[in-house]
Amino acid sequence: MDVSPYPWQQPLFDHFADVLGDGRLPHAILLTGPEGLGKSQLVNALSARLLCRRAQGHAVACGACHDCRMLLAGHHPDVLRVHPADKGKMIRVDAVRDISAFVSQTAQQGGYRVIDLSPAERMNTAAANALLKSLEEPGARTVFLLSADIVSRVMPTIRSRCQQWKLPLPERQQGLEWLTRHGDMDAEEALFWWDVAGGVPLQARMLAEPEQRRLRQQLQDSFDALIRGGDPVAEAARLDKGALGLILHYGITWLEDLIRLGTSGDEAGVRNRDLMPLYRQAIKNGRVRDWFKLLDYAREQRRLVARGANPNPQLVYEAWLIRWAALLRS
Amino acid sequence: MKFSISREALLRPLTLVAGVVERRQTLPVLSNVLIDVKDDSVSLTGTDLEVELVGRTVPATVDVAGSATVPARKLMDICKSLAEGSDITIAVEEGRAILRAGRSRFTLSTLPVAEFPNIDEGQGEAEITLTRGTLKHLIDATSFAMAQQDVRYYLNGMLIDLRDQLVRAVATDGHRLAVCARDAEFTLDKPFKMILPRKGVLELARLLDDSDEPLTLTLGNNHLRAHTGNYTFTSKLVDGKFPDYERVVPKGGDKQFCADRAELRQVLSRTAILSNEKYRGVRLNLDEGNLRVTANNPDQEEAEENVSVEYQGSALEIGFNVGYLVDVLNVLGCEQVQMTLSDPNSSALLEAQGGSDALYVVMPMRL
Repeated sequence: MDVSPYPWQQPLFDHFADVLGDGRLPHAILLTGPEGLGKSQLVNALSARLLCRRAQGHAVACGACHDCRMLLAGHHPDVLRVHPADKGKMIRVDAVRDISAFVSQTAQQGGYRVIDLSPAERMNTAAANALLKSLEEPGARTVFLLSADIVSRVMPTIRSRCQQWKLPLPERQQGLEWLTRHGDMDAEEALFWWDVAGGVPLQARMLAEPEQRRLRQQLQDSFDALIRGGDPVAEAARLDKGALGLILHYGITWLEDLIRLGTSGDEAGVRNRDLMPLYRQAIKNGRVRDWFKLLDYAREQRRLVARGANPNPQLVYEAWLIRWAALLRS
Repeated sequence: MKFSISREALLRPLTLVAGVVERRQTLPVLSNVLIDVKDDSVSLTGTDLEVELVGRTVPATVDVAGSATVPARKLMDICKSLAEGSDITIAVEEGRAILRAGRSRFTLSTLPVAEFPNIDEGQGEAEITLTRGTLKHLIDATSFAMAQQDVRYYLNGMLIDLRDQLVRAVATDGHRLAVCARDAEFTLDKPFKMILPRKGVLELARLLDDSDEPLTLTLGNNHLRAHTGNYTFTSKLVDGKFPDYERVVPKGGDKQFCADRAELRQVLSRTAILSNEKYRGVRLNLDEGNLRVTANNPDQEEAEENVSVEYQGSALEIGFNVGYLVDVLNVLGCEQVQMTLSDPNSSALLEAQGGSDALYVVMPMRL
């Protein structure tokens, strides 16, 4: 397990090490930023720094002391990790009660106690309310590290008890370098996926994986078929039911591209350059108002998915593609 | 690591240490016991992350010093089932622990020692020495009153309140309070208070006996450590502030009676049978020389008992949860118990006749 932060997180990590050294560390930090910036990696780095007894200055952790060894083995007794039981599920109140029990006793190793809770917006109301008391006034040497993809969905009472640290988007050059080194791709590919992901590095690496590429290709084929007069319901049936979130994500970025291109005519701002033929066709037919309507619909669906509402994927695909088809052919 | 040891020398500490290790563990390494072999001693460490117990024993021979973690229960079961007086040899070869005794051979899996969450033996803030008997008496006299999984987490444990030459144990669950204090021969620069969690109290009590053997307590901000004989016990603490218990002890109660402890306990236990199963309420009617105890339940069944007491004064009717009274009468070791009351809405003070080192406060119940 590598605990060093990603290169674009280094300034934030250094800041953390400084306030820790000065004894000005807040008891609760809420890390915010879109999915794919590596928040969990930063949390790992911060926990390692807090627990390591030897690390000084801007170093992350020595990797050799007893605390480091236990952390690297995946079970430090003074770290409590709270995540949804399944991906896409909510954090329930039982998990938060474990936090109350954890902070009510002193640290087993006598150092810091670290609570890693993510994503913070996935706590249901009861869970968030149960956390307030512990989060407000924990004992000495207790640090809550919360992360949230969409900070506006975290309860305001939770937000107000944390110091919010916003993760910056990496510089283009730095991100591309990282992507070519760690994403198994050449510079040209890196540039393409970088744009597709809108400058979010882990997202770019994930989208470039063969399976995700296939999904994207499939969606692109469906759209081509729609332009040629294909049946939206038949196309919807071909889409993967398990990938609702990702398909909506693609749809939204493509729509955003389309709106950008349609209103300005400037091709430089387009993120998915391989889709230019599709966009040109759509611009010929569509009206800006309809695009925005469709965008609102897709965002609403994505919000439902994020809230754990579990809509029927088949119905969402059908409703969505029917609207696309009407727009592409009008 | 390689050493040999007699079955008995290994089994005694191993059984105690394995008692701390819980059966159902979330982390695999916690079901293991850490064996640390030095030149002339072997120490065994077991932990459940809340309490840790280290037992030391003397090996017959040490070939190679070192350490390893092996499954605690399996090792204990193997040692138990070997013939009495066997000599055991334990060696680590290629990441596996091999145990040989006579013509038997067992191979046990091991986990890396560095991943075992044992607590470093740090310096505490202060160190005091008591006898085992003193601490055992304090725990026995008060531990029943500790809260269990209360949201007021600071009640789920026992307050150890140390002053110069005085040690006091306090436990409460918000309905009753137990305080026991003993003088001891130690000096302490400043008073020290710590809350030992429930689990730590119960495990510590298992190590103690009534003897006058010395016991050293190391007091720290994060841990309480107790050294006695060949064992070192370490527990985490509750990170909270215990309520001001001295304010709860009622003062100025004017209705004081004495009764035979064993008799009163039996009377209460019998009436309890017909009290409401949920609230366990009994009514005490105090008159000159007589205490009438009555209880009834939702089925309109009734119990009534009379017991003679030493009392002069005005009559009083008061309700109590009978369980709380019986608990107190169980731990009081005296012949005669003394109960001080003032009115039906104020708490009662129970202690041995004439007062002793322990006192108990029980809240009344409105019936």
